[in-house]
Amino acid sequence: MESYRQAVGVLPQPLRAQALAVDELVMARTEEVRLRVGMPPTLVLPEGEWPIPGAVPVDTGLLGQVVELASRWSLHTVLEQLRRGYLTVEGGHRLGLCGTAVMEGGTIHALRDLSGANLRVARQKKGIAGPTAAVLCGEGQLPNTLILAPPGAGKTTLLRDLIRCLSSGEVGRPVRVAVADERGELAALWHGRPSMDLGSCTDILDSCPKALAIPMLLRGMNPHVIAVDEITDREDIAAMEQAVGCGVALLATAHGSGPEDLKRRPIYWEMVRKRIFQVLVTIRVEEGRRVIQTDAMERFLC
Amino acid sequence: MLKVLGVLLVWSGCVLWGMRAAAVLYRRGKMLDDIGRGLELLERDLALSRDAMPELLKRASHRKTQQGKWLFLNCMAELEKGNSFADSWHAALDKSDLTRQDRDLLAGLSHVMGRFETDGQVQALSRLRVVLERHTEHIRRQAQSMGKVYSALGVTVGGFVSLMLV
Repeated sequence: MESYRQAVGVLPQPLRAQALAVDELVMARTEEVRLRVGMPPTLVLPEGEWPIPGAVPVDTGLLGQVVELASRWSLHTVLEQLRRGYLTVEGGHRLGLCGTAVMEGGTIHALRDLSGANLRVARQKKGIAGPTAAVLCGEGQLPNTLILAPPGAGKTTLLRDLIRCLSSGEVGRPVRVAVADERGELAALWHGRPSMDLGSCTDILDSCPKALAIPMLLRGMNPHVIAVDEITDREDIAAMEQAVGCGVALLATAHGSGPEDLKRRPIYWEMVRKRIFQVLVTIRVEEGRRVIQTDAMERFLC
Repeated sequence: MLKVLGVLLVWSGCVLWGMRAAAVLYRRGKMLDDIGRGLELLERDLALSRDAMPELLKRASHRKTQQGKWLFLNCMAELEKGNSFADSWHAALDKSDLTRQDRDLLAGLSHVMGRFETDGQVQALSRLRVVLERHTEHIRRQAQSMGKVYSALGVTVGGFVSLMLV
């Protein structure tokens, strides 16, 4: 509930007051707040989207105000994130944005005429990774593990708790975990202090592209495990390949609805083919419940 | 005796009025000068640290002189209420002792700060400082010439009214 209250802090008044006036049970279960131009703002719960009572339809001015508040009146500090279509706010909540992309030299220079925003409420769920961590560390050392799940299934939440379990020694002895937190969602660093509990032996490199962060962490922090969220680029894979060769275990997440996506996406297939990961953890949502499954990556090679 | 006292009171009242009018002009120049220095600090800090507005304003307000400090502090207080930067800057200007002309000069910043890339904001701050310096110099010159006029006017009017009463 506190996470929800903190997340809706980026909404301007009176929408913020309306979002805070909903039932506490709804607050506790809200996963996202959706703002679409011309439509009333909605709350995303596991069972579907519900309009915020009393809220008027969203206009572009309101979206501009949301971005201003989320960037703490400082667009210059979040321009790089905005170019990638999102920005992370205090507490690790992520504000995804849609609009018209302004292109320059083949890359996105800015977003104008905002048409929609998605405020994802970041929550720490301590203990959810316990059984998975026990399975992964069953043979003593953590194997290179890839967490694969569709957006919103809880990859980042699971990864965050796995890091905490490993770093705080909940399974075996504590290990040094270095986190390349490119989007600032895993630790939600705020003035150097993590807003999320990632355990006592965790080092966090925030806002740095994974491909640069991984070699930096390897050189400087002497980690046992390197954790990264959402692999998207070939550069990320190349950096992870280097880390594997250095005897460091990898923990990573990627978007995918199931193991079959490993073969569909060339970038994932490259990871499988190069045998970077030994274990695949998938998350499925069945009847509103999340089911976590662990498999050996070898199974998907043929 | 009472008549003498009355004449003295009237004369000193007029003198004080003249001196006060002169002091207002001097203070206006000093205030603008002070805000100009605060903006210079903001500009340099932004160019170097590229920090967020609340932190920049906080550091810019950590100064011993009063006016610049209160302008930035009031702006920060408005931001903390969840207002936009434009509204907060305007509200802070309205709370200050600046004249309408001075406020209009500084109001333009509300459309730039926090809305563009760092370089664009630094350039806007730099341009505003140049304009502000020119304006402050004009006010200072005006204070020098008009200040003397107001002081002399106070003494003369006081003397004239006193003579009339006697």
